[in-house]
Parts: sequence; C-alpha cells; structure tokens
Amino acid sequence: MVSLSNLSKRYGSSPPVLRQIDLAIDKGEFVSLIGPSGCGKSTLLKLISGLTNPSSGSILIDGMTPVNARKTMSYIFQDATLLPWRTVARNVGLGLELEHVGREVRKEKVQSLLELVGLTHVARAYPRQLSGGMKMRVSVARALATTPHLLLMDEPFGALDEMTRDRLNEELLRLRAEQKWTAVFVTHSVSEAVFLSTRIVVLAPSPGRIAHQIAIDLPFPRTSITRESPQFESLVTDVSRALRGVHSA
Amino acid sequence: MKKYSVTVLNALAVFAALLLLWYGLDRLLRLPPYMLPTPLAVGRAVVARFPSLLASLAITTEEAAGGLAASIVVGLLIALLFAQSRWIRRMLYPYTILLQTVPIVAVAPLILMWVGPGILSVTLVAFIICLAPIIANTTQGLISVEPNLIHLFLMHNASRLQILTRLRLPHAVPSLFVGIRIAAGISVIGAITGELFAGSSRVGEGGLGYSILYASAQLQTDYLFALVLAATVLGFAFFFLVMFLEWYFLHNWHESARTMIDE
Repeated sequence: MVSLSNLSKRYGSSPPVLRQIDLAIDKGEFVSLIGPSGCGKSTLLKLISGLTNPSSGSILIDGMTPVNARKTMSYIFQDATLLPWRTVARNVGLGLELEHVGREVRKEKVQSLLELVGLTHVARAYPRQLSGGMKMRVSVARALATTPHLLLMDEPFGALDEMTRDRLNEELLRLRAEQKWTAVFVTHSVSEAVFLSTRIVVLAPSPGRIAHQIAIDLPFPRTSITRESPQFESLVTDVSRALRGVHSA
Repeated sequence: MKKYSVTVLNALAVFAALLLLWYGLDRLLRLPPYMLPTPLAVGRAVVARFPSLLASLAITTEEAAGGLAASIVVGLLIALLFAQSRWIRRMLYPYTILLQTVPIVAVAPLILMWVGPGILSVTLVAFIICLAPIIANTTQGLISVEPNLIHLFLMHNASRLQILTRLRLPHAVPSLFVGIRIAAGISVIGAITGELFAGSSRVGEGGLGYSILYASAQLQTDYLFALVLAATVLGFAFFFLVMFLEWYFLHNWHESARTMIDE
C-alpha cells in the first residue's frame, strides 16, 4: 500500500530531518509513528501525503506518486481545521464538495457520517459552539466522507484531555472495523499508540531514522478493557523502553 | 441587549451634559451669536432651513456613499490581485501606503481641476481616501489563512479558484469589514473636503462642505453649527449601518461580532 525507499528530507542546507527511511505499510495496517520531537515524524506524514517533497528516495502509494494518490487519502491535522463560517454538516461535506460530488450524494453521505460519529444533533451548529472533542470528531467525519483507503493522522487527539482521547481512540477503531482503511498515525503518547496500532515505528532524532519496529498483536476488537490487560501493560513497557533508548542515544 | 441599551443611555447622558455646558458657557461669556450661537439658535436654524439642509445632506450622502461603494469594489479587486503573489505585493504595496499618506486636501484641488467640479469629482475624492484601508485590510485577510487549511484543500485536490472562493474570500470577510468600518467614517470627511473645493455642484446649492463655506463667509454661525451637526450625524449613520451589516453577516461564526454584541 505505502512503500518508502531510501527516503531523505532536508530543508535547504541544514542537516537532514530524515535520512534513508525504508518502510513498507501493508493494506489494513494501523501504523503509529512515535519518537522524540525533532525526529521528523510529522515530516514523514507530510511526505506520504505529498504536501512536501523528498530530497531523495521514492514514495509510492498503490504504485502512484503521493500527489496522484491524493484521491484515495485523507489527512487529519493536529487541530480540527474546521471552517468557522460553515455549519458542522457543511464542514463534513467540504471534501466531497471540492471533489465535485453532486449535491444529493453529498447530502446522503454527510448524513450517514454524522450518524456514524454521533453528531447528528449538532449538524446545523457552527464550530465555535462545539467542544474540542466534538470539533475533532467533525474533522474525522470530514476525512472519512471521501471514503479514503489511507488515513494520515498527525497527532489528532494531542490537544484533548485523556478521557476524551481514550473515547475517541475507541471510536476510531470502531470506524476502522467498519470501513477498513489503512492508517498512519503520529503521536506522542505510548499508550495511545499501543491501543490503536498493529505496528509501532519508533523514530530516533537528528537525523530522523527508524530505530525500532514493534508489532502490536493485541486482538481486535479492542475496548477500554484492553487497556487493563497485562499484555497491554507489557507492550507499553516495551515501547517506552525503546523510546527511552532513542532519547538517551 | 441590556448592556447595549445602557451604553446608549450613557451616550445620551453625555450629550445632554454637553448641551448644558454649551448653554452655560454662552450665558456666562455673553458671546455674540456669530461667535457662539446658543443651542436653541442652532435648533431654530435647523427648523428654518430644513429643506436646504436636507438637500445638502443628500448631496454629501450621495458622494460619500458612492465613493465608499466604489472603494469597496475596487479595493476588493486590488486585494485579490495582491493576494496572488508576494512579488505583486512587494511591487505595488508601497503605493497603497502612498495613497494613505498623501494629504487629501492637497490632492482634492488637483482632481477638481482634472475632472471638473461636480458630484463626480467629489465622489472621486471620497473614493481615494477610502481605498487604502479597504485594500490593506482585505489583503491581510486573504493572505493570513492558516497553512493547514490550505493543506486540507490541497489534499482534496482543490483548484486555485476553489481555494480562493471557498477559503480565502470567506476568511477575509471579517477583515474586509474592518476596512469598510474605517472607510465609512472617512468617506464623509473625503466628500466634505472635496466639496470645499468643488463649489456649488448644482445652481444655488451644494453639499455640506459647500454650505459650510458659504455659511461661514456669511457669518451664519447658527446654520454652520447645524451643518456640522448634520455631517456628524451622517458619519454616525454610516458607521452604524456598517456595524449592523457586519453583525448580520458574521454573528453566526465570528468572534469579533459576538463580543461586539455581548459587551
């Protein structure tokens, strides 16, 4: 699905942000990128989306360049990035509108997505009337409206309180079970990464490179009970240890 | 809404106090009416010469509104041009500042010389004075869109036109209104300045500026006061009209509109 080979990125003449990244992501995987700040995890996501270009190396998504593959991708940003002058429903429909989907189909899709994320009751509200967690849900619904095969997420729940974040994580997995997209997820939180992922990629800083890859073989469906299992605890310990190794190196 | 009415009451109380002060000063200093007429004399002048006062007000309103409207259309178009590239901005922006710094009283006689006296030339003076704030604020609004919102649009393969019409333009509306609010106030100043040089645009009558010149030459100080009052009322009316439109278009989503009503 995603294949990165010998990928490097540097801005101008400064030292590289990412050096010689080789990474393959299969269809259906949920891969989290984790690492200390400055390890280039957000840059890696921007490279996959084609929002920035690599200095060398290649990126292929289903055999296409990132820019050509954009129709099959959606991006969820750190902040909700909603348009304040549009209602919730019209925000959810934005991607469809930009991709010239007809009004009737759009209306139907928006309706079903609002139901899916539990926002039907605020369809006509404006973003400023919503809490941070609800705004993020609108953002997720908007990303899913264009039925992406690949979902790129850049710390989407980083600004939320832990309870809200946990609940949204559970919802995200429920949506994934229904819609079967592949995900690349950037986060700072070890427990969030373990809970969501099928694989965790630990990045080391200066220059950004892959230090460890840890498979997360917790069974699906995962719920709040999953977080209390000893298996979950030991995986969190493993990932934290890997992350500490990267920090002190 | 309650706070709003308190504000209005406060303003009215200050107005009443000022009137009293004026009246007291008049009685105390026993100034001749051509130096400082009493509020009552001004009131009488308003009533006695109401038709010509209204005619002057109408002319000035027409010029100021025309200049303002033209500046919104032209200013928006120029801002759209400026938003296209940093190079265009670097090349042309200094001239917007020039537009703002050149004293309008110095330019007005030139325009009247070139265009000839009349409503058109006065409207042009109002237009010039209104243009800079519209351009500056709207350009700022068009280019200050958050990068991630642009990225979002790009991820959905949005065209340049889609980014302009669905992102940059709506994002610039609050800034456009800031510009219009500033311009609305000074459009009246522009029109009156123009009229000071334009003379009578129709036989026997002119705008507020012309009538002010005439009244002062004739030492009709009471009528002069009435004219100044009319000019002030016109400025206020413009300002509040723009405030209302701003509220009407933005109260659903914009912070500035919300705080404006609440506080």
